[in-house]
This record gives sequence, C-alpha cells and structure tokens, in this order.
Amino acid sequence: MWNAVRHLPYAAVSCALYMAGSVAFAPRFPFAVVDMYAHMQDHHEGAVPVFLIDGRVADVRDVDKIQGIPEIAFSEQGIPCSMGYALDEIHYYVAEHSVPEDAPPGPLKVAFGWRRFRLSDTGVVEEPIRVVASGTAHPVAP
Amino acid sequence: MTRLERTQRLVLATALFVAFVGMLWECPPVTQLPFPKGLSAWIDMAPLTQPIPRYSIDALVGVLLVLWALRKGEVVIPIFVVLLTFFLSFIEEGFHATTADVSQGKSMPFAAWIAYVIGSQFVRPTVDRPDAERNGREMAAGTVAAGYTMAGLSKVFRDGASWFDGRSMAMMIAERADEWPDPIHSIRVFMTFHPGLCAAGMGFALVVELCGLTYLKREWRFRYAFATFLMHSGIRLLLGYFHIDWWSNMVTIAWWSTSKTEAERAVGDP
Repeated sequence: MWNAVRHLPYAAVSCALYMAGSVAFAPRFPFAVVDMYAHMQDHHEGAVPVFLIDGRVADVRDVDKIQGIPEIAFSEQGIPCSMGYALDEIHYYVAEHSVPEDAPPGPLKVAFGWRRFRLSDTGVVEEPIRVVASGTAHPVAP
Repeated sequence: MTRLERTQRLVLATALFVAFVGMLWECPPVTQLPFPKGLSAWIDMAPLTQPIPRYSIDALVGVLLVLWALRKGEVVIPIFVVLLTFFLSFIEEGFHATTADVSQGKSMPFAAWIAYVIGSQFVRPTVDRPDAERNGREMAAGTVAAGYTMAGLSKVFRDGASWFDGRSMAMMIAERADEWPDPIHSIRVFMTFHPGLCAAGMGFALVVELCGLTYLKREWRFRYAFATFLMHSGIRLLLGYFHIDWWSNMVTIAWWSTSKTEAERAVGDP
C-alpha cells in the first residue's frame, strides 16, 4: 500500500480531486467551474448599456446630481446584455449621485438606454439607441 | 534556502498578492449596491470595503506572503491567508447580486495555494519525492490544470458544435468595439465582419483549454503557459479581459515547480 502511495502522481491526483470537487460543490470557494464564454449559442442579439448627455453617448462620471432616472430603468429583463459590468458601473454611479425629484433640475439633459445589435447575412448590424429613462443633471465641477 | 528558491517564492507571493488585491477590488462599496444578498444582507460589511480597511487587509496579506516567501511561519501563514481569502470571497459572493461568475474565477489562484498547503504540510514525503515541498508544488500545478481543462469541457458540454459559430463571438466583439480607441477599435470592427476568423480564434482557445492536462507534466508547463498567454492576449485584444491573476499564477507555479527543491538537490534527484 505504502509502496503505491510513494509513487503517486500528486499533480494528477490533485487535478482529479479538484475536478470532482468542482463538479460537486462549485461555485463554493475554493471550487469553481470557470464556464465563461460557454453560453455562446444563440447569442445573435446584443445590447450595450449607454448613458447619454445632451443626446450624445458620454461617460456617466461627467455629471452629478442626476434626477429622473429610476432604479427600474437598469433592469436587464428581456435585454440580451452580456456586459453586466458596464451596466453595474452606470447603475451604481447613478444610484450614488441621484438627487430627490423635488430638487432643482440640472442644465444638462441625460438619459439611459441600450445600443442594440443584431446579426444579418453581412455581419453585425447596429440599431438606433433605445432610450429607457431620461432626466437632468449638473456637470461635474472641474 | 537558496537564492533561487527565495526568488521563486517571492515571485509566486507577488502573483498571489495581485490575485488577492484583484479579488478585494471586485468588492464594490456596499453602499453602492442596491441588492446585497447572503451575508451582506444580514451584516453591514461596509467598513470592510472602505479604502483604509481594504488597503490595510491588502497590506497585511502582502506582508504575510513575503514572510512566507522568506520561510517564516511556514504552516501558520498559508492557513491564515486561506481562511482570510475564504472569508472575503464569501463576502464578495454576497455582494455580487448578479455576477457570481466573477468571484468563481477569482478563487482559482487560491485553490492552487490551498492545494500547495495541503501537499506541503499534510502529505507525507515519499522516497520518490524526498520532501513535502515537492508534493505541495505538484498539487498546486494539478489544480491549475484542472481549472483550464474544466473551462474547456464546460464549453464542449454546454455549447457543443455551436461553440464554433463565429457569429456569436462577432456579436460579443461588436458590443465591446467602442470601449477602446484605434487601433484596437478598428481591429474589433474588422473582426465583427469576419465570423470565420472569430471561429478560428474560438477553436484555438478551446484546444488550449482542453489541453490543460498537459500542465500536469513538469516539462510541458512553460509551453502550456505560453499557449495560454496567447489565448489570454487574444481575449484581451478582442473582448477586453486579460485575467492576469490566473495567468501570472500559472507562470509562477510553472517556474517554481520545475526547479528542484532543497531535498531534491541534496539527494541528487534528476
């Protein structure tokens, strides 16, 4: 028995144990099945969250005291979005820099929306931006 | 301890430190999260995610890893780091309302570290491997091989042949085309109109991942690390992610595990 153990290929044993553990317990730390990009089939529609300032795509961090864009606007339901991080970034910023509805409106018109893509025979086609919610904001002081 | 071994340990400690800082960085300030879940829904974890506590934890782990690299606290430090990582990854999972996949991937370097701790501290040395250090290194390499192989297998089982539909990747690249200026923007736009090229890249990535088991063989570790570097560079170029924590961990484990341990040098192990 001990003779067999001393020739054990530890790398292979650890590999097998980690695979078995991951199948059984992932995503519980430290086990994981990193299946990123493993849901590609039928990804024939796309959507990218965008923030607009005065009608142009811009960085949400350029404005402050945002008003009129509710939490529900950031719902991904029914949206083929594969960029959750970009949505989270805009969502967190707007949540943290919003002011109450009865505050004085800002001079800039802002909006949140989706830039949609679809596949055609010739390649990827970009569709017009679909605005979900709009409001006002103040420019960030330099 | 030789200078080489000390250097190898310091490099590995640096890779782990990068992975740890990255993991903690993924934890957004809890006040920005509209829907905390798990532990963070019950206990206010906000103080832990503020800059001073966050950087203090980073610094503590950095000091501990350096001490480990210098062979101080050989048993206590790795176990403490594992427990701390477990705790923080648990919090992180609670913080991420919708992106648990991120925290899954972040745990990979620490899975290798845990395997090293088990192998080097709790597995008995053998005649073939005269010191426990070797067992630990090999077990760390084994988990890295498992991680990449499972990433490949998940694509085979979930998507099958449709994985090679380059149009899906073209769509993903199109979504990310505007994230960077030229020349990367132009390259991404070019790829969106060439799904065949996208399919070729996806095929390469799948082959690399499915060959993860080659990392089990010591002589092949650097070669496999180079192949993954190419794969990760392609992902970085076209999709924007590099996964530096995985890759740096893989390279440092390759270097560390292919050199002889002190005991192996002492007995003249080839």
